Amino acid sequence: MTGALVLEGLSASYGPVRALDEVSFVVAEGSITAVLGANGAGKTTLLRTITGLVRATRGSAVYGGVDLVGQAPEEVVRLGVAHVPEGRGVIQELTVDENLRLGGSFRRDRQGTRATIDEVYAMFPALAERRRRSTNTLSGGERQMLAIGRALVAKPSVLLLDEPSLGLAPRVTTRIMALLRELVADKRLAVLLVEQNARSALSIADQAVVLGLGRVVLAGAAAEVAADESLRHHYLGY
Amino acid sequence: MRLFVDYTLSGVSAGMVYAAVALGLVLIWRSTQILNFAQGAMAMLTTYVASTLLEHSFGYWAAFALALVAGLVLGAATERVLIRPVEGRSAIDAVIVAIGLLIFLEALAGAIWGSNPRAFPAPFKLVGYVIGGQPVEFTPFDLFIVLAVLLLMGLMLVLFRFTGVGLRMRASAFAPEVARLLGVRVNRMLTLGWALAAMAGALAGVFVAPKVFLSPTYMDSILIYGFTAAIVGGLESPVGSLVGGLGTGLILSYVGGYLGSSFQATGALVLLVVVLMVRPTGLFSRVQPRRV
Repeated sequence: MTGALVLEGLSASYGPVRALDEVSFVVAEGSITAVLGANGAGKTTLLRTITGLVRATRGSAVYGGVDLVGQAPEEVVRLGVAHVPEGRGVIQELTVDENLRLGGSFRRDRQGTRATIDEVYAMFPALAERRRRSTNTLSGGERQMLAIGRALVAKPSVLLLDEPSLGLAPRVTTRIMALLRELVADKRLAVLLVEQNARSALSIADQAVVLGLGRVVLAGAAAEVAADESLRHHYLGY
Repeated sequence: MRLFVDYTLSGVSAGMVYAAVALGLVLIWRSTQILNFAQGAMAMLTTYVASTLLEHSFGYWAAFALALVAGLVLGAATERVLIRPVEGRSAIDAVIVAIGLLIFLEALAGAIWGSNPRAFPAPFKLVGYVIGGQPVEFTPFDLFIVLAVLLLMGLMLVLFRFTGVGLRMRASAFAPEVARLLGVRVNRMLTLGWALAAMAGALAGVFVAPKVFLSPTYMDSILIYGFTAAIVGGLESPVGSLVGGLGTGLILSYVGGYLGSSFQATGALVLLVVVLMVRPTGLFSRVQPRRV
């Protein structure tokens, strides 16, 4: 398996509290890895450590031969690892189009950026209709689409998604998950999907990693985890 | 009626200067949530730089341009060296740094240039226009001030609304962490914001000096009126600083004219209190007030 993103012994602390403890796994190109676990298990911290918002105390996160540990967040995305933060991170003071343009503002080729933005509009027609409007006019699902679309404008190879289903109706969640699956197939993206909603994450993931108190307590093929009732019951509570 | 016209015209000219100071305060506030108490002192320093250049037989416009450049450099250096270490710390840390810088710069200017007031030239006549056979309190220099500040505001508007850098600066101000995740080098945007703010201040400094003489403390009262303008305008939008500046300039001019100039500072305070009572977030602000 060729790994797009290889985590090895990644650890982080908040003061004396160990938030991530020796986390190691591989996210393959063209696949989705679901990161599951209870509140406070370290899921968000994992993503924030990969992109440099939280400083790793040890370990590495290698992407394309480069260790992301020690890099600033603004450099990590330039290398090709985009992070859609929890709560979507859509900037409300900007219009839909400005949010998307911001996603590619570090890119040098303006025409290429514009073309990627048009691709995103084609993918999400609801956004295209409101490109000059404030993001306040968007529904929760549309905001999530904007946040994902904005990350895509950076042309990443790895996409880190933090709780995309948070606060969304089940029907909308299903749509977003289906869309992620398509994206992975189309663009050969490697996706690291952090989710509280284990059932819907497992429905599209290839691989599942369960965190507990900052450690990997279970890792395996998503289908196996979803099929094994005792595993599900024990680790995921459903 | 004649007096009213005079007070109005001089209020507009003064208001434009307050608007430039307010713009500088707003640029810094909305990107770093710091009130730059040293804004006036920084403008004082750059105006002394212009004054020194003039003494060394530079032309007025060269000295004017170099004062603005000095503002850019001083603003960027202040952010890099003094503000960055306290960014993200509690607000009081930055306030102490800014007040420290204010005291330091005024002492520095006194040490280099002495505390005796010195004259500073204006590029245009300081004699009022004659309208209907009567001279009014509005000089060609005042007209230049009004046009220059309007031009500055227009350029800022174009920068923020229509350029990539402006978009990145706004994103850095509104949501620094998200901006970083999108590849925006937020630190550079903060440096740029401070540089532009100090440049706006430098412009105000050069405009005030011909009217009151140049001394290490000559910008102190202007800073207070600039603060009033910025807060009236809501501390967040450049348009707010223009409206706040004009409003403050006009009201203070009427107060000074009809009640006597010793009432001006009181007038500023009353204006501030009234605006904060009616609209606690200022006239142009998106922030929702919060009950505590």
